[in-house]
Amino acid sequence: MELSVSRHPIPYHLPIDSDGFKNIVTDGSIATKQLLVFLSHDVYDFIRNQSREYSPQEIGGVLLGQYCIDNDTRFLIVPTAVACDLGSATPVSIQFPPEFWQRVEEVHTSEFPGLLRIGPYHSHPGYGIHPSGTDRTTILNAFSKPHHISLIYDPHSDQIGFTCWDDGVLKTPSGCFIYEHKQPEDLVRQLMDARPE
Amino acid sequence: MGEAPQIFVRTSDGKQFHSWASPTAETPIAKLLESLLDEYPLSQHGPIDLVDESSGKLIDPEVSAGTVANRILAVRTRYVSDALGQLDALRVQEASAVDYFHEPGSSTIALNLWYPGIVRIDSSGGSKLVVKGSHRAMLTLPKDFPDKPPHILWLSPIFHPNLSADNEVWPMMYNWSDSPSVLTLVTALIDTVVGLTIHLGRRFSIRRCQVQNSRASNWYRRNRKAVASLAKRTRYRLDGPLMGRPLESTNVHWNIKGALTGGDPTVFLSRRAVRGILEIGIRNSGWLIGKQGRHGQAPWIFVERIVPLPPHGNSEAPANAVGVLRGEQGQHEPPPTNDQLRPLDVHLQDGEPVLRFGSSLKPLTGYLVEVETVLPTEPTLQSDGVLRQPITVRGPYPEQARQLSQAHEPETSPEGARSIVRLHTKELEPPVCIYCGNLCFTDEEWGACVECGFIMHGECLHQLGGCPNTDCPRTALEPR
Repeated sequence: MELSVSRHPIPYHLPIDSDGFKNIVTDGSIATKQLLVFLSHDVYDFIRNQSREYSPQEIGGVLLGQYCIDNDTRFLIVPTAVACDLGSATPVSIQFPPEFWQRVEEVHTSEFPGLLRIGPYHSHPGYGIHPSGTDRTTILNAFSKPHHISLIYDPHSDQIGFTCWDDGVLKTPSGCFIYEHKQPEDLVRQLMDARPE
Repeated sequence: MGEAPQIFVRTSDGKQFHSWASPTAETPIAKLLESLLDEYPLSQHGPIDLVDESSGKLIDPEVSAGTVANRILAVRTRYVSDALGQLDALRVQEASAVDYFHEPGSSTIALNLWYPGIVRIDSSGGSKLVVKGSHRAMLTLPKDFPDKPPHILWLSPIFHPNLSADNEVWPMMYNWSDSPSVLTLVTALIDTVVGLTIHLGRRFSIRRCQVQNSRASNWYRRNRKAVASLAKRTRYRLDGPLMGRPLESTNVHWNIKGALTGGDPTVFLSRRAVRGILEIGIRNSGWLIGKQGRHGQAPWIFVERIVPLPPHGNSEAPANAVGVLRGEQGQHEPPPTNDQLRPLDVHLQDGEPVLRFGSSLKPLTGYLVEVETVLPTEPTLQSDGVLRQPITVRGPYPEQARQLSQAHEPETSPEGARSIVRLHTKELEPPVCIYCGNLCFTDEEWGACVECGFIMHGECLHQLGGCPNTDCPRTALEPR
């Protein structure tokens, strides 16, 4: 697992300024002066549907996307995700076993080279979008780079929010932009090509 | 406990009665007003009042039902409560530069206006004209309001061609029948106080029609441009700092209303602006005051607040206007501003704002609205460079400095290079700010003009952009 590498943001147009994006909405209020997150409508729907289907068990997975910058505005575009259907989940926890990370590695390298592992997502059935103590430890240990987030969805309150570390401080949860794209495959290709390494 | 009274209320059209069985004699009339909300929804009628049908007097909502037993009450729409609601809407937009006091049950409203207006100060050393930022007036709503306009009594000293203390006044170029609303009336009154709409009369006319003070008229004739310049700077100023697009430069949270389309202009509406569009747009047109810019190639517009536009008032677009709000009632149309400088056009449709950008006929599919305010960490003054600091504050006033030095031996040299000197003695009364008329307390930033010694708060100085003394070389009236 290679999660501790700092990445530089690649120059890219902010989706709200870019022609190909449409039906951009928000879920939760957007905090300013911090990383912005643009989540594909497909990923958003998938997380919500999966969370509701498996509630009260937690569900989770890993988000793949690109870390971008536009005139000093740092943001993430998240067009895809890998769901964790291995391991064990309870109403208050979910474990990502080594086999899952192996699978993420395979999907990442074979299908989405160039994208970054943005961070984990998981559900909190009935207990809000604030990260738990375990979540904080996980975020601190494995997802504390500037391009990392931890996305949490509560199917009971239908709330979504992400947290990230900023200058050693775990930010309070912020809402996400949810987007559709006129040509989603082209967008993914562009995002992958933008980071050739 | 007295017997529970039955109260009869005549409907606003006078054709029917409602009967209300009060739970107890002590139940306040406010409960009756609440129960009438089903019949007179706020969205349709605005706040309603009850009047005693025999005397025509307004009923205080806090009086008990027992006190109005055996009397017939009548529902009044568009009366005092509605007028107060309009003043509330104006107060929100004007950042509390408009305030009022109303005694429940009365049809008079005491009005406080904190805008720059010229006042003459007479003293043994002669008279001076200064810019004062605190004015008072009294609005009295007649029984046949709004068919007849309110009476406005001007209460505070003023040096103005069309206003004078203790006299009944009326805003210039304002016709009540064109726009019978307190909101536009007070807006027009503000424009008159600050000198945006004044009537100077004819220079050589024998009858100086509508001119209440001919000396003021002569003075304004000479200084009209400077007064108008100051009025525009203060009347349409932006309250908060904005160093770039709000998404990157503010500390507030945003939500998208509707859905954005990538590449479309991004419009940000403050909570105050949203409220103003809804509350003012149902009856009035207005300027959208804010800021605009580009983020890369993409245009953005931030609307901070709404300044109502009185009919036939000053139609020149303010420098900070980023667009227009077109009133739902279509009483009057603001000048067309669909240009590159003021591109946003907003109107209400079915109670929802519809936004258009530039010459496009197609409304924007979405916009961002402020959802949470976090206290800013940056200073809130000197937002856009317009309000520069043309004078330095180096208090105290020379005479007070002498008194102060007599009262207290300074521990350090007065050459201590402190920009603000505060009084630290209990023997002296705090000085009064020449602009706002309030005391300058030790925990506030205040000082004296280095040229003329007039004392003022630092905040007042920033708001005004210069010294209130019109004779001072650093006067706020200096045209820029």
